[in-house]
Amino acid sequence: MRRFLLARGAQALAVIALVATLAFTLVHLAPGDPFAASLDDPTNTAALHAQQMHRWGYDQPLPVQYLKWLGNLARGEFGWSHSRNRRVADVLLETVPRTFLLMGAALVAGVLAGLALGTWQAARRGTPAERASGTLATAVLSVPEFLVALAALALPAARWHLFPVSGIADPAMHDSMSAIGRAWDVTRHLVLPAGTLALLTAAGVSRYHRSAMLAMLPEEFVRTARAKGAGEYTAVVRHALRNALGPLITIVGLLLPTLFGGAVFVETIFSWPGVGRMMVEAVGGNDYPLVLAGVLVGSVLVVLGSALADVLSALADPRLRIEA
Amino acid sequence: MKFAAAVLVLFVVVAVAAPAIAPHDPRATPQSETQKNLPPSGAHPFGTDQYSRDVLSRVIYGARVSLGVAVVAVMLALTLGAAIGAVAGYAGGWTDIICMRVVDAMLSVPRVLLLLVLVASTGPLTVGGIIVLLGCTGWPGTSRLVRGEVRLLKERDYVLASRATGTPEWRVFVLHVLPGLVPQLLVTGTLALATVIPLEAGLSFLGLGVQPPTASWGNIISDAAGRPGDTWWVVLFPGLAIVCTVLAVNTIGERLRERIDPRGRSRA
Repeated sequence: MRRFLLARGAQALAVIALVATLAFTLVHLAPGDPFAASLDDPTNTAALHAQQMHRWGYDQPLPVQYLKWLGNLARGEFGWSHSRNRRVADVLLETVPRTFLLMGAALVAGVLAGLALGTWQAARRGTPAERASGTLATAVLSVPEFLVALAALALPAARWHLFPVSGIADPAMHDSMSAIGRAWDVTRHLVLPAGTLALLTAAGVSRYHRSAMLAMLPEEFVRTARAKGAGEYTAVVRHALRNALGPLITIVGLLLPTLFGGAVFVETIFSWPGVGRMMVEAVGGNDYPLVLAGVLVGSVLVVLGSALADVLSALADPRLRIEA
Repeated sequence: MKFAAAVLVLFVVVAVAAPAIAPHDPRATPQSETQKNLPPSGAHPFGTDQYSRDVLSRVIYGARVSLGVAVVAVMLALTLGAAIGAVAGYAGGWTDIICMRVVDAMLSVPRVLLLLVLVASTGPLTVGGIIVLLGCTGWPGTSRLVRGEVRLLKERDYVLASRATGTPEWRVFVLHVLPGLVPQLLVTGTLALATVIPLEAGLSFLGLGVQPPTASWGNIISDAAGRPGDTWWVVLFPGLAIVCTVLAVNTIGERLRERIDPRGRSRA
């Protein structure tokens, strides 16, 4: 097990290092620079531009910049965000927990709903309601995240006033609220963006889980349970469902990149101030250090997530440990 | 399947015949306040956007851009994937290891982030630029598939025989390995369309993809004015076009997959 952990950890680190290098190369090799946009400004002369480039070290040879960037990363220093005039590390400290909250809530809600739906579909296989729900899940998976988010924004938020339209908290009242009031405030803001991502997660999970359950139901131990007089619920939930949960860990690991990609759109549309929205703004503002930090955070999250999924699967099922 | 194919054919016809079908110029912006944000009516079945442009005409012309970008980008991704996969599979050794690590790295970053990095470095894109970016981020899956197949087939007798007669290696690949991969590439390509169409729409919606005034299904949506839901027609109709296309493409892709891999049928 220790060898498996080490091998998986080393692989994850190698992938992250490669992503960092690829992203750095792409951003810096391409034409344009972080201060090019302000060249349209007549007060910004070529001399001033050169001075800015020099001040932030963008005029140095690329390998030198790369090594400096890596060295700074190793010390937890992500650089300076030009568009926000703040340390990138400080921006990340603010945005990363918010994205965690959003994705965490979406994952928990989406996986639970997907499991419930998939189990129900397997137990009621072939009935009209089951078929309709399967078609619906496929249809939901064909709707891009930003359209679901726009629909959620247009109807429950803007038209029916059930939930706030944007942000993570009430800008005027939040600071004067009690602790419970603040938690409630954030929850109200969380429902629609997390619900959007949860809907898509649930549709994805239910499709996998339905087939996992269908594979379990004809198994002999389920038949034995039934033969011993267990009710339908006990046979399906206690016996079949438990054994169908194994692949779920892997599926969640596979869903992470999609979920993070979805968060980019959902955060932008609901003005949720997380990493996704930060990335989009950083791209608009030519803020190289912030863009790079965003990609790093995204890939670290996904790589660690899938490494964790592998380790958990190996813990749950010893047969999987041999392969590594 | 037949219905899905019919939907797709309809959209392709609309895209090709756009100038003949569209009732208005998709870029025309009448300088009259009374033409702004009109709800659907006889004159404008899909209404007008905040610049007084006819949404129906924009959706029709948008089909050209959105479908065109997606199809060419997927073909580019398949070609790159086949080429890189073939090189990695044949060369083996370090070339193979490096290629496959790059594939791992690219697959572990959400594709949207990869695209954002590329857009950050290139600035506002032309339609050709978007195709290149979508193509350059779409090849890893295909290259894995092709590499696996090449490694499997390169020692087979008929491949060895062809090589023994002095056929150059790339010709062996094109004549004897690639044809066997065509069904799988077809499925991969079809399903790739279903991810590329929403990606382009999403990027264009964020203002980072197809630049206005050229219409794509994604950037039409970002021209909805006021509070979300006020001008619902500017969001709904291009949105429906995206969803219908993706659903049709997905259905066809899944059916094709079942057809080439009969084992999958029992799962459905």
